[in-house]
Amino acid sequence: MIADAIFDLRGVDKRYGAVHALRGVVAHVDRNARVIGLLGPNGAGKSTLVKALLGIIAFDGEARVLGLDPRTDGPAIRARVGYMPESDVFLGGMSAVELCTYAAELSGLPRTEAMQRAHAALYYAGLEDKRYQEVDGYSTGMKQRVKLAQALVHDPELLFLDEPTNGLDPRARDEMLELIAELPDKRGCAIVMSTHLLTDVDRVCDTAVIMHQGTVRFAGTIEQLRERSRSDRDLLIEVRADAARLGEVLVGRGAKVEVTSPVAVRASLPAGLSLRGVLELARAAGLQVRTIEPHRESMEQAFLRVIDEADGRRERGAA
Amino acid sequence: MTAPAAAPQKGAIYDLGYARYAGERRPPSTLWRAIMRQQLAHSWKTVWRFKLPLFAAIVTTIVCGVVMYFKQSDVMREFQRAGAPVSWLDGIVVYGYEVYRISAFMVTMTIAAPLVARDEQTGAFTFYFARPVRARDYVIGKLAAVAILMGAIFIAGPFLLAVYRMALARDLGELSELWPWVPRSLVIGGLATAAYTALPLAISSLANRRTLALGLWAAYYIVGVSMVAAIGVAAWAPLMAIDPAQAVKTLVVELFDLQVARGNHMPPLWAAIASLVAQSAVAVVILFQRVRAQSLGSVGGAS
Repeated sequence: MIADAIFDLRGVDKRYGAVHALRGVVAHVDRNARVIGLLGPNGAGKSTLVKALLGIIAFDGEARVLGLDPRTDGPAIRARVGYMPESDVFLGGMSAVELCTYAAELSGLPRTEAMQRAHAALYYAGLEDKRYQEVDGYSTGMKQRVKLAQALVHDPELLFLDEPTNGLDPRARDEMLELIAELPDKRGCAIVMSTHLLTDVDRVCDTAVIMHQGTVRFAGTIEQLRERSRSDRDLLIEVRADAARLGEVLVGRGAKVEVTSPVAVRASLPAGLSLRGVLELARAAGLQVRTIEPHRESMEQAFLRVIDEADGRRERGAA
Repeated sequence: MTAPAAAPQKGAIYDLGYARYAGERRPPSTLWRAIMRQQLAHSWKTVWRFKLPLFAAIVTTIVCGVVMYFKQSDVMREFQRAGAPVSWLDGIVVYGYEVYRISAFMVTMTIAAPLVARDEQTGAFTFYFARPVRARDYVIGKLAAVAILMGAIFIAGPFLLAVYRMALARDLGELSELWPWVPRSLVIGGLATAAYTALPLAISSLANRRTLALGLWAAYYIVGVSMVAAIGVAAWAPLMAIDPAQAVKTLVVELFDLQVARGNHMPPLWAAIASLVAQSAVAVVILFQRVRAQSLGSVGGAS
């Protein structure tokens, strides 16, 4: 076990009767990570993993969160962790400042300190003018901000955000992502963000944990995730004109080609065709190549590739 | 001419003063107090939740006190000596408890019965259990808060009346006869408080909506136990004690020896005590089990 990790999981296993929610999860995220995207399709086990990390449910295997064992130190972990749920978590008839004060008190802060930090957290979340209003009357965007404030009011070292931009209009979403991106620097806390919006991950996360069918399929930096797909054989080629002609030439040599614009193609080269070979073919066809660079996957493509790779391995194993 | 000051950035006040909290944190075993305090503050907020029933209880206590005073006065003693029928005045304690019971039922309807169901309905369990709060902290905090409210009605009023009645004693002989009123009022108040606290909270934990919880509690208190008590009248008197109201009345009549207020059908004292203790205990177990299940399932969503 590595103590200096945000979380370190070795063979974490959880069953709910016949449902095998976590299948020997192995993952390590070190303290350098700032914003971690927790990704996976519905039913992948993300929520069960969050419950296990917070020490809410019992599980088999070994785990450390902020150096503590969730099986025995659940309350201690939850005192150092903030949680912003996807659904509303408001207590009826309370103003934002009352709610955040109560949240801080329940995380162990003395009442006076809790009250001061509630005001401060609401300032940070941009609700300074509205903090004495009852939360029931807030708009969706304001409610999301209150949820963020109540999650960070007790100075957590780690913050779990569950679909933080859910239901927000583009502007509010943009502001929320800005707040999230600033948090590691301004509050000194790491963030685990569970979301289905891969564009959000692309924008604010530096690390990704991808889950599928109860296992972690990938845990590493976003760069590492994309490196896995980057190869010399998958290229973006830009020519001065007539990309369609280049496509025909490359298809003739067994490459898989997608013409993405009148001057660009994306090509997956066959084993016998090198980069130099592409340049020679282009010259022979009278085409002027401007740039050749390895194709960079979008987050969505990388996510689907990781999931597909895992499914492929399973199918081969079954065969 | 001076240049206008630059407008502060959003959040600048906070960011400038930010320092990570390094002080001590309270252990989880003390968090029930914060839960209790919040519940008491919430209950006190509007007139309709607690203030009105409390007002009714205070007025009842004052009226009972005034009646006790007049009963001890020389004029009433003369009436009594002359054979005037003033023994009904002894029943004032029973009538007082009737009002206390109605006030307590109002509190169950405005505060206790919807409490746990509302927390489930609004997602408050996620708010609680994503923090160091454990199921037992939540249960103890809520029970303590509602018990304080109920105690203000069932214990404080009768206790004050008992002490006041002792203060009206004319001599030491009367005082020695009256002193058991104090512990007895505490026993009655304690048992009534336990039942009127635990039962609505347990029923509330069985529902996932506030209105459903209110309906279930009203059905249990008004219809359910009354039907069982009616069977008790015909078949076996101790069964009547299943009705908390009937059980409390039995305690008052028996422990204060107010035969004037004894009705034709009343369960025995042991049944009243056993019923209130047993119902309270079962209710606490149900409440804890239901909240514990919520603590395991409320955080993290569904998958």
